[in-house]
Amino acid sequence: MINALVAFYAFFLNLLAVSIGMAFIYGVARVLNLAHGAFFVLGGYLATALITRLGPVPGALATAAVLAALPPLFYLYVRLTRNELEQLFATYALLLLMEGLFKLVFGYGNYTLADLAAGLGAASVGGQRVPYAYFLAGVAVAGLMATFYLLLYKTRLGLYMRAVSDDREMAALGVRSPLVQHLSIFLGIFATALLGAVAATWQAYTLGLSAEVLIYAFAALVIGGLGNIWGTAAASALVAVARTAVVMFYPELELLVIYIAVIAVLLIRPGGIFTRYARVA
Amino acid sequence: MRGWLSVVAFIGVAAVVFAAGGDYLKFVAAYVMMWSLAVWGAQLLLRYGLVNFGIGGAYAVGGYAAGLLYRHFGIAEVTLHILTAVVAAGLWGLLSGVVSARVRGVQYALLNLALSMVLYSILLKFYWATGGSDGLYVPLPRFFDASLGDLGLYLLALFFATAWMTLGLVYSQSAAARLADGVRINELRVSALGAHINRQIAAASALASVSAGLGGLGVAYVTSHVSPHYAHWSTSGELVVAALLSNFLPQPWGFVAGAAAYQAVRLFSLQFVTPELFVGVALLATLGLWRYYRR
Repeated sequence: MINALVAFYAFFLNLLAVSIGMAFIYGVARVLNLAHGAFFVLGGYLATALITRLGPVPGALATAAVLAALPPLFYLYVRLTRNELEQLFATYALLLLMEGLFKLVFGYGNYTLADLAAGLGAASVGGQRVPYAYFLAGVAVAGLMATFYLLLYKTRLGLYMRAVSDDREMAALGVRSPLVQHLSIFLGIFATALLGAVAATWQAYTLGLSAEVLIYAFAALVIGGLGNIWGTAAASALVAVARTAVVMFYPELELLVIYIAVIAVLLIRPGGIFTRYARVA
Repeated sequence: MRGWLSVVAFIGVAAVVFAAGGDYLKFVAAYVMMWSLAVWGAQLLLRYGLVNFGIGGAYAVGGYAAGLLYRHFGIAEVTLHILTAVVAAGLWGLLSGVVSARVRGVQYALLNLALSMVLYSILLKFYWATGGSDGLYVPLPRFFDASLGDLGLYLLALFFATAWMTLGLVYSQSAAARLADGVRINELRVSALGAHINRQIAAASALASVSAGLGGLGVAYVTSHVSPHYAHWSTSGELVVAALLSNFLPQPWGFVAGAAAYQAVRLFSLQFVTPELFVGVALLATLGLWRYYRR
C-alpha cells in the first residue's frame, strides 16, 4: 500500500510539474506550446550536467541562470507566429530542434541526479524507504503552487492576468494585455524548466522524453479544463491515481487508461471537469 | 481546365520517373504517392479548420487491414484488402467524426489524438493478434492470380494519387467545399443558413479516414510492413505538418507535392547525426518563406 502511495506521489509531482506551467501559459496567453515538454526536459539535462560538473550549489545557480535566459528567447520565437496554426507549426519545429540539440549536446545517456539525491538519505514510512528528495520535490512543487496562488489572487498583476484570461479584448480596455501575456509566458516556461531541474533528483532524462511528457501534460490539461490551473492540479491527481492503480493491477493497460480518461471527459464535459463556464469552440 | 491538365502532366512526370529513375527513386516515388493520400485526408479536415492529431489512427487501420487479413486468413488479394481498408477506415472515421464533431480546436485535436493512441495501445499490447511492437509482415499483393510486381505497385500508387487529385478537383467544386470554408471562417453563420455542421464534419471525417486508410495500406505494401507506430501521434503530427505544407501549394497536386517535399526533407535528414535538427530547420524555413511571399 505504502509502495503504491509513493509511486502515486512521484508520478503526481511529475505530472503537476509539467502541466501547471502549460495550463498557466494557455490560460493567460492562449499559446499552445508543443515544445513545452522539451523545456521540462532541458531543465533536467542542464541541472544534471552542471551540478555533476560544478558541484551542487554553483551548479544549481548556473542552471537557474541559464534557464532564466530561456523564456525571453521563447517569447521572441512565439512572437513571430501570427495565428494558432502557425503557432502549432512553429512549436512543433521547436520540439524537433530541441530534441536534435539534446542528442547533439547530451548524447544518448541517462541523465539523473538520483545518486546525489540518495546521498540526502531516506525516511522510513511504514517500513518503506522514501528518499528525502521526494519531500524536497514536494516542497518545491507546493511552493510553486503557492506562488501562483499569491500572484493570481493577491496582486494587481494577478488581477490583470485573470482579466486577460477571462476575455482578452475586454481586458484590453484597461490592461496592457500583450505585456501581461508575455509575463505569463516568462513565468510558465521558467517555472517548468526549473521544476524539470528539480525532478532530476528522482527521474532519469533520456531522448524522446519531451514528447512523452507532453502527452501526459495534455491529458491533465484537457481533463482539468484548458487553462484552469486548479483544475489541472486536480486532474493531475486523478490521472496519477488511475495510472498507479492500473500499473498495480493490470499493467498492460498503463497507456490506455489515460487516453480513455481523456476521451470520457471530452465526451461528457468537453470544457473539462473543473470548469464552471465551459467555452468550447 | 488547368486542373485537369495538371493531372495529365502529373501522370507524365510519374511515367518519366518510372522509366528513367533507379530502383531507389521508384521506391520513394511509390512511397510518396501512397503516403500523400493520408496527407490528403489531413488536408481535407484542415479545410474545416480542424487539426486532426489522430489521423494516424485511420492510417493504421488501413495498413493493419492488409496485415491482419494476411496473417490470420492468408489473404493477399489486393481488391479484398482495399475493400476491407475502405470499410474499416470509413467506419473508424465515421465513429470518431460523430464523437468529435461536438468539440473544436484544441479539444478536437486532443480527442482524436486520444482515440488514435487507444488504437496504438491495443495494437501494441495485444501482440498475439497484432504482432505487438514488431508489427506485421505485409506481402506483395496479388490481383486475382497475378502477383503485383514493382510495376503493378507503382501503377497502383499512381492510380491512387491521380484518383485523389481528381477527387480533390471534384470536391473543391462541390457545395460541401463551400460549407467547409464557411465552417472554418464562421461556423455560427453557416448553421444559421441551415447547414447541419456536425453531419458535414462526420462525413468529412469518414472521407478523410478512408483516404488515410488507403494511404496506410499503400505504404504497408511499399514497405512490406505495418507497425503500431502508424497509429502513434507523431505519425499524425507528420501528416498534419505535410498537410500544412500542402496548403501553401496550389491545387490539385498540392498534396502530393507537400508529401514529396516533407518526405524528401525527412529522407535527406537521415544522413545526419541529428535528423530532428534538420527537419526542424526546414520546417521553420518553410514557414519563413511562406510568410515572406504572403506579405
